[in-house]
Amino acid sequence: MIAFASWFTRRPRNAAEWVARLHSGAMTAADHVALAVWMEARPEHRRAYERVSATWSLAQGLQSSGVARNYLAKAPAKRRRVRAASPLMFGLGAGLAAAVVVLALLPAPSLHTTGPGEVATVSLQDGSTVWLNGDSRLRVDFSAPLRRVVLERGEAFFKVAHDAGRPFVVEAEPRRIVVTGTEFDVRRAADSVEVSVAEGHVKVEAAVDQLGLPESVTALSAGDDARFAPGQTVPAVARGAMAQHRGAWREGKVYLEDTPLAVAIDELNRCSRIKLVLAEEPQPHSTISGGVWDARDLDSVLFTLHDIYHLEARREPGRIVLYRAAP
Amino acid sequence: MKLDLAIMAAERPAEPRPVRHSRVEGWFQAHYRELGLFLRRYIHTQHEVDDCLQETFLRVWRQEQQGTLKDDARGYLFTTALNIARDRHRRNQARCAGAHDSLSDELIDDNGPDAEAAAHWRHGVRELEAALAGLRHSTRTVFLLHHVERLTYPEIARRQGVTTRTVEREMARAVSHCAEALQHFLEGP
Repeated sequence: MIAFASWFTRRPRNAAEWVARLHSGAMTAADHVALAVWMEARPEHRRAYERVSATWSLAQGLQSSGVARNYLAKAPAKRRRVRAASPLMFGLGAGLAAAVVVLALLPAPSLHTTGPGEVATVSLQDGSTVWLNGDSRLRVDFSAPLRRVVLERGEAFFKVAHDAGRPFVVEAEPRRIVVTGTEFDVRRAADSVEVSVAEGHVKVEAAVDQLGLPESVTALSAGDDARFAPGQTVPAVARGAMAQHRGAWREGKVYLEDTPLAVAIDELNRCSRIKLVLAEEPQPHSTISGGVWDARDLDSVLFTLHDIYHLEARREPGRIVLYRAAP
Repeated sequence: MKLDLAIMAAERPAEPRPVRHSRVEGWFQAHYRELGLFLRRYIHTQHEVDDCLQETFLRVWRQEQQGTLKDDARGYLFTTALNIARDRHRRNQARCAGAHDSLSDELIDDNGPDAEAAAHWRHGVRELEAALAGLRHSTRTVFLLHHVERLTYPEIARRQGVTTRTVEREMARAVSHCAEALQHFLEGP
């Protein structure tokens, strides 16, 4: 029994075994250390490793090899196990031809856009769901071993399917949000980027340039809110803040608390087809509060704006102009 | 040897002397996952990521052995990893001119393809194709499912109805046979 167990966990003994282990996906940091020790022990270890490793690299060239594909075509799957849960698994179970088709379909990047007042739900192939707020644009690219989405404009709420082996990265230039599975909201407004976590853990990184190391890495947990002001590489973090209200827009709700008037109007507009427009520059310190607003109930919104914030509304075709009531 | 391990060979220290309590080991253990995820952002194939991790550890570890280690652990580890990723990318580009890229656009720093290296690379692939004939059917299938279909070991294990341990063993057998068959090519002029 002991011999059996140690056989399973035993360290590779030669170059080929090491290279096979290195690419097994089960390599640990300790294995890397052990490999380095083995490699440095004797010059012939290193020479053998270099030979085998170079061979392994060459095998990448087999992807476009007709000879290799021919061999595979003659090797049908031995065990057919179809699991409904994963489309990729289904492809494998259904045989090689199907697997090839599925793999070929995977990489196509897709673009999702919404107009003002429109909320879209996008189901991603990994089981994750994205709600796209109004006037937003999201690019999805799962062609790499990475699940990568780019929020080009607007706001999105992510419910990410857990997959530790394939990180989910949201890019809202120049920030990156890296997660393995959780729920969070990302919002771009003007030049700022805001991230609010509803569930789980999220890592937010700011990079100086595309190649640079992350200038800052901020870990966020459920309830946390991080805001990058324009040009800032370190976010202002509010722990356990209003994050739970983020994502309320999915039901047409907007959370306003000490929100500058212009921003509040933008938020309300995103959830409504009829645009609110300010007739004049708002006064510097005018803010809107009140917690959750139902942006789709326009009459209530206008009523509150009038009664509490003294803003009159003038209906025009396709828009409503707000102006300060004469004193 | 013209293939990509020339750089590692050039950096071989004169006399490696194992350091008893290696700081680098600690750093590497602490940042291992993070480093892997970091590299994955720039490198699109897991194969390259694995190699990069190993090369990164080796490079920093050697500096510790030689007593030339810098202080900022995390930054240094990540910078080294990124540099290695860039170097590998350049060599890849020279080699697989016209073939698909394994790195994301972010790393592309075009040096222009090197026709001679590309021809050498293609020659190697032809030799490898020939070497495949000498493998047992099951061994060859496992090897090709990984390299051609890019299936992971567990995926191959499920498809072939064997354990991942067997997949790893078959993989070692295959690459060992191929490396032997390619010995002349690998150690050629």
